[in-house]
Amino acid sequence: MMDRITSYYFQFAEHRALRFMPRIIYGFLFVLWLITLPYSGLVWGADNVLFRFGLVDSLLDNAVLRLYYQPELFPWIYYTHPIFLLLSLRNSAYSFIPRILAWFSGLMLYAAAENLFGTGVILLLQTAFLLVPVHYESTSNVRLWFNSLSMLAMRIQTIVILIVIGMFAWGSAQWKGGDALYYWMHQGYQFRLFAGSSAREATGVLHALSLVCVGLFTLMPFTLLIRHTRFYSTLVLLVIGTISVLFLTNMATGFAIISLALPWIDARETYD
Amino acid sequence: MKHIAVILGFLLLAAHTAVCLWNAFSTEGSKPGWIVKYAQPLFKQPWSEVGSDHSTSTMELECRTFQENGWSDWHDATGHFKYDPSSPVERLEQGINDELRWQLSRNLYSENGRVHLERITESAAYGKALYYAMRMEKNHSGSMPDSVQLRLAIQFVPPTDQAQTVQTTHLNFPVYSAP
Repeated sequence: MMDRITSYYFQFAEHRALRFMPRIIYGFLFVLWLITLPYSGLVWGADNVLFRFGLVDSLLDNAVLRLYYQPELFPWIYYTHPIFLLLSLRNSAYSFIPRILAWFSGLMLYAAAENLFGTGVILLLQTAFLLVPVHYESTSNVRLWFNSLSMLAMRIQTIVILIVIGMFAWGSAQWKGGDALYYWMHQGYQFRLFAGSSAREATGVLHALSLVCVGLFTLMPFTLLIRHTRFYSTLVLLVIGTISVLFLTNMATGFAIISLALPWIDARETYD
Repeated sequence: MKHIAVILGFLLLAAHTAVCLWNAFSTEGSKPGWIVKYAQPLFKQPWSEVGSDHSTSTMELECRTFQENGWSDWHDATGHFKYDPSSPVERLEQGINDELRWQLSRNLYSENGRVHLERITESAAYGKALYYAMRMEKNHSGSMPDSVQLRLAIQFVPPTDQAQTVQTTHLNFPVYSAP
C-alpha cells in the first residue's frame, strides 16, 4: 500500500508540465509588468494617486506591505522584479533564488495596488510560489520530492478554486438565474470595445452562457479528477482562458484561467 | 526514508489546503488570527468574488476643480486625462468606485426629506476618491487645485426583461477645500 502511494507521489516528479510551466507563469507575470510600465509612477511612485493608510501588526503583512507604506522604495522593487522574472524562466538548480525574489517582489507590487490586476494576478503569484522549487530533470531526490509536491499542490489549487467558485455561484441569484454575464458585460471598462455593446444585447445567449458556466464550475472539479474526461476539461479551461485574454481588458484574468489548466496537461495522460 | 518523505509531503499539502479552504469559506471576523496572519498576505483566497453577484449599476467618478479662473466643468476623474477606459488606470478608479458603491448601499440615508452624506464623506472610500481626483489633477496639470468637488455618475442596468434605456443619476458630494 505504502509503495503504491510513494510511487503515485513520485510519478509527478518528472511531469512534463513542470518543463514549461515556470516559463509560462513567470512569462505571464513579465507581460503584466510590461503593461504597467507607462503607468508605474502613477500607481507606485512617490506621487502616486492612491491614498494609503493604516497599519497591520503581523510581520508577514508588514513585509508584503512595505511598498504600500514606503513608495520611495518603488524603483528598487519595480525595476528588479522583471530581472528576477527573467532569471526565473531558466530551468536550473539555482532558479529557486530568483523565483522566490520574483514572487515576493510581485506580492509587494500587488499589495500596493490591489485593483490594478485583481484576483487574476493573485492566482498567478500563488502558482509562481508553488513553482519556486521546481527543477525539471533533476537527479537529486530532494528536488524530485519538491517537484512532486509542487505539481500536486498546483492540481489541488485548481480543484479548490473551482469548488469555491462553484459553491458561491450556486448561492448567487444572478448566476443561478442566468443573468450574471449580462450584468458583468455592462461593466464596460472590463471588456475591449469590440466585445462590448453588441454582445450585451444578446441577452438570450448571455443567459444560456451563464448557466453553462455554473454547470462547468460545478462539474469541472470532478471531470478533472477522472482521467478520461480530463483532456476535455483542460481544453475547456484553455479555450475560456484564451477568449478571456482576447476579450477582457484585464489580461491577468485570462492568464489565471490558463494557469489553472496547465498542471493538468500531460501528453502521456491525455493521448495514450 | 522515501515513505517518510512522502507522508511529510501529503501532510504539508493537507495542512496548506486546509488553511486555504478555511480562509476561503470563513467570514472576515470568524477566522483565527494565525490563519489570517499566514493566509491573508501570502495565500489570499478571493475566489468567492468570481461566483458572486455582479453590480447592477455602472459608476464613474467625476470631479470639478476650483482654480484661479473659477470652477472647471465636470469631467471624468480618469478619462479627462486621456486614459482609455480599458487602461489599468481606469481599474484603479473603478476599485475606488466599488468601495463608494458599498458605502452608498449601507450609509446613504435621508431624514426629513434631506439626503445625508456625512457617513460616506467620513469613510476611507471617500478619502481615497478625493485623494485620487486631486493627485490625478496634480500629476497631469502640475498644480494642486484649491478646492475640488466630486460626484458619482451612476447608470442602473435595466433587468433583461425590461426596456434597455440608459439614465444617468448624479450624486454630488460637498465641496472639499484643501487646507
